[in-house]
Amino acid sequence: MKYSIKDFPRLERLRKTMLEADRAVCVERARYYTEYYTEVLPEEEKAEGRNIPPVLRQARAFRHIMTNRSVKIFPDELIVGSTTSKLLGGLIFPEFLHLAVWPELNTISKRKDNPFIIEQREIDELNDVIFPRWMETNVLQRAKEIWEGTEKSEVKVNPFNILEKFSFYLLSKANGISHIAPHYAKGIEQGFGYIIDEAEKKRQEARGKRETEDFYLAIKTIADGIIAFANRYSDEALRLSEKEKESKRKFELIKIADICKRIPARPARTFHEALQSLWFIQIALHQENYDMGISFGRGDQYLYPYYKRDVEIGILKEKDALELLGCFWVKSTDHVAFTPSTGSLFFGGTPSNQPMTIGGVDKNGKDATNELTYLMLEASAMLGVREPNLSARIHRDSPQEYLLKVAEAIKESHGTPAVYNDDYIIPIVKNTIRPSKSSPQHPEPVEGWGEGGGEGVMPIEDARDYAVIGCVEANVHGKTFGMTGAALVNMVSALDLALNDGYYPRRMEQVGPHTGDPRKFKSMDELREAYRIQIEFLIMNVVNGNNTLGKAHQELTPTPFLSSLIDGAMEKGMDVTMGSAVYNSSGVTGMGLSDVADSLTAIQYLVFEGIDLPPYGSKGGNNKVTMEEMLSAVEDDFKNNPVLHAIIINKAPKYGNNNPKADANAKFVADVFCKAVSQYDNYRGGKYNPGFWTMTTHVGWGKLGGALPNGRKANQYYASGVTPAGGMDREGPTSSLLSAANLTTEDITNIYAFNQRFGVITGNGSNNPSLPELVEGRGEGRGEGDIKKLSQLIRAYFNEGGLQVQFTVADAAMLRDAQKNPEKHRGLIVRISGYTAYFVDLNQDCQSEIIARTEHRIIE
Amino acid sequence: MKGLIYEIQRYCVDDGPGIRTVVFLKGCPLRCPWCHNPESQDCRQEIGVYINRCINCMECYEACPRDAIVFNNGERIDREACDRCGLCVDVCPSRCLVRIGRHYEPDELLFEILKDLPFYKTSNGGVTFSGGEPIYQSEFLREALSLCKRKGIHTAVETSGYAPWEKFENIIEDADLFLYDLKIWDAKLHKEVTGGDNRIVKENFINLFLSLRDKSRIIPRIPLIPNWTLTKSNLEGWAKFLNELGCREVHLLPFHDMGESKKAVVGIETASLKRMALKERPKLRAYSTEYSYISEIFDTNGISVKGLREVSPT
Repeated sequence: MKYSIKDFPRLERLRKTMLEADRAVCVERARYYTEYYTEVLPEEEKAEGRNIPPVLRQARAFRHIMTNRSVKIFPDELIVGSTTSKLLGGLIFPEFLHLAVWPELNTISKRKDNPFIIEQREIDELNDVIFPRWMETNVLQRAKEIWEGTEKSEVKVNPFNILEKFSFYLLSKANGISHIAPHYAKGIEQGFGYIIDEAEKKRQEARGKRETEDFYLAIKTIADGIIAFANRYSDEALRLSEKEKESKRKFELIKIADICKRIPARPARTFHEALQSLWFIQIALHQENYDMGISFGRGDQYLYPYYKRDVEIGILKEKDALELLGCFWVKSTDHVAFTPSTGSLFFGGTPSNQPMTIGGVDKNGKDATNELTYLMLEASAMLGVREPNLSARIHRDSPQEYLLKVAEAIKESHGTPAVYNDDYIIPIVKNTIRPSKSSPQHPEPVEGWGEGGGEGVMPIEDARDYAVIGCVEANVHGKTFGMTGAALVNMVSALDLALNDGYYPRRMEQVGPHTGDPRKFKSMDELREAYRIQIEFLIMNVVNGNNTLGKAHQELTPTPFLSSLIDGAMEKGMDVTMGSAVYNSSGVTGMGLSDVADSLTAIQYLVFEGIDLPPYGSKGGNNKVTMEEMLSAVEDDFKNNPVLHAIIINKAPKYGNNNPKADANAKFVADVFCKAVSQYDNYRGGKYNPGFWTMTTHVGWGKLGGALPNGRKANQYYASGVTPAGGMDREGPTSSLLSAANLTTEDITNIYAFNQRFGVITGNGSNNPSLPELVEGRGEGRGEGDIKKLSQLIRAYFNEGGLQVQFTVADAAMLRDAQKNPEKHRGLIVRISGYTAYFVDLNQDCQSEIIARTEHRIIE
Repeated sequence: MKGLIYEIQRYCVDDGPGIRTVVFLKGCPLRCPWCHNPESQDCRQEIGVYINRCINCMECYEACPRDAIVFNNGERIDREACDRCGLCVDVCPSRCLVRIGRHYEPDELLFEILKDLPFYKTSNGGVTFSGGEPIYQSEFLREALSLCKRKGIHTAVETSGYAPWEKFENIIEDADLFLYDLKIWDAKLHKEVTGGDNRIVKENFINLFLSLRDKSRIIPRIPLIPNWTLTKSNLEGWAKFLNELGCREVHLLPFHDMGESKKAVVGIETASLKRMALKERPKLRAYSTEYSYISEIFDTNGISVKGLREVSPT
């Protein structure tokens, strides 16, 4: 790397302060949101003599928050503005998920995993004022009412009943809108003053159309809100500057005051202004929308003109630009998702997870890397902070220099950036929308195209302009309302149902449809079909649930601020929750791919075929295991059949070894899921997109799940994303990567996360402590050679069709030490399933899952 | 003809250029005490025992026709009684008992090698044949090498040099690169320690070096073993030898004792290496002062050294 954090004392201090800060709950957002609805809204309705429509009251609530919440500037900051009222805080959304923490308020400061500081008066306020207001009018509650009211002639199952059983799927819309990449550039380049003018103009054009007029009023209102917020920061900076004794800082504060006075009302002119504007927009988005996966888009593209101009006219040096980026990087970690205690199992590390996409091709298909791309890599490697979640796009003509820098950053930072394959993802992005029966390109209806609303055919320029969303997903940034993390589905639970005729043993009730007693199955095909039916059943419920939640959002919680920054909404005069974005889709992700695949493989070879395997012990004398034997071993967690367990673990083929037999089942699992998901249209007329990434649901659901035919014992974690089960990919990283690449089809439109863990790259695998000091490998200089080879590994994997891979570079000894001495490893970042987190922030189960991941070594 | 192979390792990065697959051929005439792969020495199939994997299911005991399964501390096989039939391995569910060595047809091996072709392509890597002493199966090796060559895969051979020259000649055209081990310079000590005559090693090296027009096709490598190869006189001996021959590059290999733990797997008596190594470790750590003569020796002889990290004096 070109720079070290030692070159930036300011960044060193900012980073340290943030890393050492305790998480604290912030009630301000919840307070002012609630206050608006209980105190202000009734007054307004009385005064205006009408019911204020949802989009307008949401806009006014937003403005109420922005004009009332506290503003604080911390020492050393160049980029100012806080997501919460605390240095490191968690927001509360009482209208969504956070009612779930209500019963835990007295214990969250003492809980073992992810404790949050909360003061007694804050608890009181939540107990007495805030939460009671939302008990009956939250989004989930409304969705249930809507479901009750709909005609259910064919579907008898209530999707919310299954949701509440917890084991089958999660519907994240109940938590709010997230997993989206808005059009930040519009806010930065045009400014919200322009947006006000635009909205006013359109309102006049729409005169008489009450609903549309209200939408534009809402847009004007949110713009007022964010401008007021920035002005308050300007005043605060000025106030501090007057008190400041030190002249350098005084000057900085005056400059900050100037910047905040100008943006985001007016267009940014400098790199500093652009970054500050971007950060204000992000803060604003987080006051309206749930803080999980609000994605920065292609930062190295839309910020580059500012950087270039500043450098060209001589007002910005590379090092100063890096310092500004560094300030932004640290600032973007100022908030953590506040979750109930189960949340730390399912979404470990309490991420906000804001991916910043870099590199790739531009709209014309040419390489898009620029100086800023490299500076962003430098910032991430140098700082090693968990946000932004740097996501590097790579295409077939990506410069060698870029690949090497990416590999170097991965090594230096232990795990960032994750890498994405443009050559395969761009065609997939085109496939995230369902071609409509007629479109500008095809004016006549085309046979076989979707029945849904349809969205035309995506121009290639748009597909090339995708950004990474949330964990790994890909949407055209600024144009898509994609909600790529709408639902997380436990595919293992479908296998459990298939192995029990629809009965779910862990809850002792019939949940799924009857698919037959597996003991009577004559072939693998029958088992596969039973599994397929159970998946179809779960997905149908996911879709019903998500579509109903979507309707509840439309009624209760439209998102006018978000709408101001998604192309299509302003043109159509309609909130994005109503489907006004250029592209409308929803993402569903499946958890447990390798566990289900390996379970099917184990059954296939032990129960049905028995080929390629030694006799099943001398006692049985025959080649096969009966289904009864398998199922009862699974039922009692292999306690009475350790031999069968050992055979499964050691002798049945496993996904992740480039073994065609085992990989075929993985492909089957992927295909079934993709078909089930992508057949549906969402409530906004878009398509459902299937993918495979898991956050830490593989740990959370693993904790709840019984043993499996793949030898995984009860309550253990499953494998993450499309990663092979820990320790089961025994043929080295190349085979593991090839297995994942084999999965790729253009149907995996919500992409997948593939984890690889390497021991420390410069280690040499020897237990002789003298060696690393004595000898630097053979052949070429060790450090450099490793980086080159890592880049070649990625290149080959992408040539073969791999979509995504992320590395955690830390050996087991280091991770165990971090478990024991967290204070020594405060900034150790690791890859979860799509995002990065501080290892020491994870609970013990999640930590163990990472340690148990296969550790690939560079073999000497 | 079939070759006996005991391991195929992928993503190796220190056995020739690029990302490589290393094919380990079984059987070696030398018995170096520091051997990294003791399971490679015997030229027949063996039964390996990983005792900590045993789940005490007794399947092996019941399957063995020769009563060769024992349950003494740490052992599972009476090596005297065992005829290596492998029935115990077939029934062992836990990979406690494993068969070391499998026969491959050359094209079967090629299939395994080709699996990683995408990685050879992006890294200019290829396949490396190691051992054991791969030259001992030179007929098979020649066939495998030429199959790889026909597929455009870069090939390397790691050798101890201890083999009849004819066997070298047999493969010389089909191997792109020789990684050639030089161990102990002194003939008497070499014989004593490794069991082999180092005149053969030296002669073969000279022959090979002279017969290769492109000198970069051969790289001498010296493992740094305290007391045996890591002595001033030993390194001086080799440095002069290489200098006189006109060889301008040497790779130095790190010493490690990873082979020690594997000796128990195939029932080989552990030599004194461990004790020796432990004694030497502190010295090795202080390499920068203690062994600073290494670079000097090769510098004086005009040979560039790869493999040494630059350690700042502490």
